[in-house]
Amino acid sequence: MTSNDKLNISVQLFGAFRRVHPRPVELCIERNTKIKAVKSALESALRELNPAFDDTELLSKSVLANNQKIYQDDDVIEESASIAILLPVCGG
Amino acid sequence: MSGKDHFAIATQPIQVQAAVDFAADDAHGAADLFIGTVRNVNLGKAVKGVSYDVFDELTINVFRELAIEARQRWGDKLNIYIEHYKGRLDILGVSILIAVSSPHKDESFKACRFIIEEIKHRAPIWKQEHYLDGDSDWVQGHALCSHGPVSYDDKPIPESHKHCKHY
Repeated sequence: MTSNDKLNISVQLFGAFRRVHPRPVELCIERNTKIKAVKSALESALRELNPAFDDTELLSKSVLANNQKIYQDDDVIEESASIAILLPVCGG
Repeated sequence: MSGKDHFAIATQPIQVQAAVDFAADDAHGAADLFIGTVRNVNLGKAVKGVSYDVFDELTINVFRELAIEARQRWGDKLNIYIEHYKGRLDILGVSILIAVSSPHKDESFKACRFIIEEIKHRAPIWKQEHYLDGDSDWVQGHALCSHGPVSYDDKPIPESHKHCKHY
């Protein structure tokens, strides 16, 4: 595994996730990691950043997205990127 | 010629007249406005204000998709104005403003209703209510999914969507 096989992913947090951690979460993952695994890595990172975080239901109801679309579980991350974790929404 | 669009996330007070002016069109005989405001109670709790959090880029993209879908259903002449507030608002503050104009009233009524209902289900926007007792809480909403548009209409649930939590 070389450093070229690693990607830096910045995950923006919104809504209730901001009280878990106030800033984006930085992840280092392998290239072509599936979104489902990115979500697991995010959960681990959040637990490390905030040991009081135990709301796995919040994560299970949320999806990962970039500026253009919502990812599906089988999508892969091919390049370093800024993405976001999106809770259930309630605009209007 | 297709109608025009205005999409924005506002951090200053939303101006209703700006939407009316934008939607105005010599060839349109109708304009419909939806103005969402902060009310003073929710689920029995006295509310003094609401803070809105928005993923700006994806929200604008959702607004763009909704305009396309509205024109597919009610004609390409619609003028569509959508603005959502980001930040804290007091009671009666304007959280969202939608204006749709069209040659005849039926299209603008239906398109405006469609857009606000879809925004509630699809736009990455969250609200935190602040209560008179000093407490505050994030409002539970609709789970997003990657399967594309979810309509508020009473349509049969597609088999591929039945596991989604927003049904």
